[in-house]
Amino acid sequence: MSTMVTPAFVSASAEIFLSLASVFILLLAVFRRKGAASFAAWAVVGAFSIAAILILSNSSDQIKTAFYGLFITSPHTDFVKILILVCSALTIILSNDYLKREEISRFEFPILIVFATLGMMIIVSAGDLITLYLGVELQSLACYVLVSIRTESLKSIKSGFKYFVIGLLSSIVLLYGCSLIYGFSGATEFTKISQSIDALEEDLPFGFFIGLIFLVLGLASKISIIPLQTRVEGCDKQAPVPVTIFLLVGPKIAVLSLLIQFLAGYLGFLFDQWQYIIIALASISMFVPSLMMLFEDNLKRLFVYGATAQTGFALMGLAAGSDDGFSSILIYFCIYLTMNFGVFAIILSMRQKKQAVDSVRHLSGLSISHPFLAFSLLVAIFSMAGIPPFAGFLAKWFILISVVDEKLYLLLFIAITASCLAAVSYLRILKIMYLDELSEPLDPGISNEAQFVIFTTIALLLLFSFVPDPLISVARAAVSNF
Amino acid sequence: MTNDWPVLSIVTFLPLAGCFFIMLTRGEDEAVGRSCRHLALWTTIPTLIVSLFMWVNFDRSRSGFQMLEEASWISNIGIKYQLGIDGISMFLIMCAALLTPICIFATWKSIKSRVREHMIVLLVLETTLIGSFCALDVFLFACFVIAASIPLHLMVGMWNKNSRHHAFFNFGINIFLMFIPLLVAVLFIYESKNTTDLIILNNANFSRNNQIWLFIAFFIPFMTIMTLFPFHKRILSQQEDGEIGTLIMLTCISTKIGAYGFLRFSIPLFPVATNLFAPYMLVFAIVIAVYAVIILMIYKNFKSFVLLILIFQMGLITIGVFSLSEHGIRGGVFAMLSHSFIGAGLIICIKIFSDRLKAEPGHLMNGIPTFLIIHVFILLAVIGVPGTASFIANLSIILGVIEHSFLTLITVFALFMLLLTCLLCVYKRVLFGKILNQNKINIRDLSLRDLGVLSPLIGLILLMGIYPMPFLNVMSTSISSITNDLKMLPIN
Repeated sequence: MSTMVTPAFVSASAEIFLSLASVFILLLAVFRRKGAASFAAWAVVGAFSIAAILILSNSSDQIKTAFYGLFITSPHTDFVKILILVCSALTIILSNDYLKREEISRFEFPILIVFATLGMMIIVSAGDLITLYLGVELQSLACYVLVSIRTESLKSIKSGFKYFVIGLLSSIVLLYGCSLIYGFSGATEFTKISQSIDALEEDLPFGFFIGLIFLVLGLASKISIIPLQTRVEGCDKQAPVPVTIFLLVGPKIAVLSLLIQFLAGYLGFLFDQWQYIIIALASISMFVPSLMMLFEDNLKRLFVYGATAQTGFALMGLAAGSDDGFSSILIYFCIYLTMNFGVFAIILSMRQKKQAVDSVRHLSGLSISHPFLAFSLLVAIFSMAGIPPFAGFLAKWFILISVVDEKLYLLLFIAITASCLAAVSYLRILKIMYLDELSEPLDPGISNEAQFVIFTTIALLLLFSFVPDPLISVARAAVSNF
Repeated sequence: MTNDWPVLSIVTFLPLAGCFFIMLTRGEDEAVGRSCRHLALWTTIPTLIVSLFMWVNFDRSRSGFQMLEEASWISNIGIKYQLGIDGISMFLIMCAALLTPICIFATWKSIKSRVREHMIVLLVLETTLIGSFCALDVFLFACFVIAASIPLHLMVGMWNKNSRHHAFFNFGINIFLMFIPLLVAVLFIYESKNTTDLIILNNANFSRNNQIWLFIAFFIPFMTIMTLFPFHKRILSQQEDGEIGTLIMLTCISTKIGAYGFLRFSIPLFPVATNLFAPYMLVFAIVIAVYAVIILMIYKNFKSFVLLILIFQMGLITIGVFSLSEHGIRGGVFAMLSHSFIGAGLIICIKIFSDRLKAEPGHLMNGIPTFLIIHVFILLAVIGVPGTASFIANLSIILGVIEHSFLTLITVFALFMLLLTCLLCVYKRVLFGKILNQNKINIRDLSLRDLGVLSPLIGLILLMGIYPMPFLNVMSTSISSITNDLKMLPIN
């Protein structure tokens, strides 16, 4: 792995800019009387685009370290950071109208999203266990507040508190893992950990292995992969829909990207050891949520389970451990982001008698009352179920190819079974939407922002399935120097 | 002969362009319905005309694929968008291009609710069906086939109130049985040969074990599409109030993908496994045909008997294809075509019956003569009376079976006899039976639209029966290349 030391501030310019911008926007918003919330929202979207431009302008095809190894940038991190910025910007665009309608609009919301985004970007770029923990906590703290933003509702505060406690637990597990790794390798910097473990001629110290397991489990429970699934369950009922989708996409992409870099980039020589951890995690997180989906009637939760199963699918690319696997994870991320935002933008814009729609049954006859919404949901759902020729199928196909390449047939079998189970639930939604009688029509009218997001995501999903080449080559280039 | 413009892509994606315009229609329900019907009709008719160009430009002397079109699709893993036709697929494409406008025309009045959706679904279905007939990449083919099952089942469910749950259930089953074996097979082919290009794969040899597994993996989805034995319920469930467009698309075109898939993929790619499995396939197909005939004898329902005839025909086609002789395969392909037209004609006739007459028809000879003449003609065509298309098809299948074994021949003959008896019994009841329905005086004879819909079908059935050479000539080079490949195999 070739590394290049550059002036520290240049590589972290996007993060530094974002943190300065957040403070600045916060100050401006405090002193504005009217329309502070939407001012803050659009200012933050602007800040995100400037940050994206900064990332793109500083990107190179080499791995660069800064701040004495604490901070790493590479094509891979650039790619993932852009995805995270897109995710955050879409969240704010979606939430603008939603929060006003739910009467919880406040200017702190976009600022908190900026903090969470900053945390995720630090996780992605972490080159040291300390930076990793810093990023994780920055992201989580902002998210605890975001989940309980409905301050007048007791339930919301309760679910926020639950989320906090479970988040705390996973932080403890993560920290314990970090300390074990430090204890057995004598370093917190990834490169030094890698060197000191590699230098050990005899077997891998058992404590280090346990530390690794704790680290992976802590991170996995941060992104609510089973067995700490309950965390999401607690938050999704009361949390505003944009926050749910933000939590589903952003942190998962960030943490998975870090796992790829840490495990494959630095501990690649221990592949035989950590492969089992990842295989086990991937199987559990694919299979259990797919099963739970079968019995779920709550629309939002059903898609949350679906997204968890999809994350498990992405983990398989890591379990394959090949370059193809890593690039297919990046492709999967892109399509994952697009389809989940599409679905949640649709859920968010469906209202019945001025109440948010929460049960699958409310979708009955959607194809008669809202043909456009129904068609968009059909595209997104077929993508999620991975049925050709929709984009989700391509994403799954690449991951499956990399898994078969490595001859992991058991994992392949589990993946296909889980996909089938999930497909049943998705098809059930489709049936309700297209084949059932119209029960009670939904309220007409979709906000412009939601319309924009739905239209873009569906267009992108269709585009990905017919012209997948550009995306694939960008993803391949991003993992070229692993 | 090379062509400057991509005929196949145009034929495939022209209906989709129509969809786009249909989506743009706005206004009152009635006006939208009217303009949607016209838009759909005027996109399918140009599709038919372009497909005629294909027929004109086809080089009859060459055996390989023609009018190849290639574009990079997922270039990083070498999966291409590759289209091409040979003598077999060209007819199936034309058949789909012809039957879709007929569907639209036949349902002009009967579809009243959600016309726009119906037309969109129909056109998407046409695109996916034509696409699967001209795809020359296994991956592309799988995509098209699975994509075709989506509009197909939406059609079954959305315009047939009773079979809604059935449609959903079938869709689930279909997705599992088609999707998974097909994709695992494609994945395996890709992994072992590093390509999914059919032309390259034709020269690639799979080991004997691989061939057996791949043959089975392809067999399950094709069997599901063909609605062979355990899946025939899918067709039968439509007997009550299935709608014409759905029935024609379901039974006449989409089932042919299965038989086509055997010819295009299973037999050329896995010759060893084909030789191994052919006797079992023959037995399987005969059992299906016998089963259909037996049910036909028991069933008194006039409508379901049409669908049973179609199941019988699918069995017959399978017998032809898996006799693995040149005559047999030619008969099978010819039967695919002739049965599409005959099936469509029968379905339209039955729907005319059931739309105008709610009960079982009785003594009808006096009421509606034109209709009955046409109906009897189509029924005679089902049995294979000389001069109709299925005579040639059946003859050719029998010739193919003779080469195979004498026992099969006797069984097939017996089947034809049984079918004949059944049809005559049914017809005696319909034409000269007791008067069951007093309202028959009110029945109208065929309208001009009905005649317009039925006459091209009848014309084709007659043409194919009286002068089949233009059809057979085009097929024979492609078919002999398939059988030659099989003959070259070392006999172990």
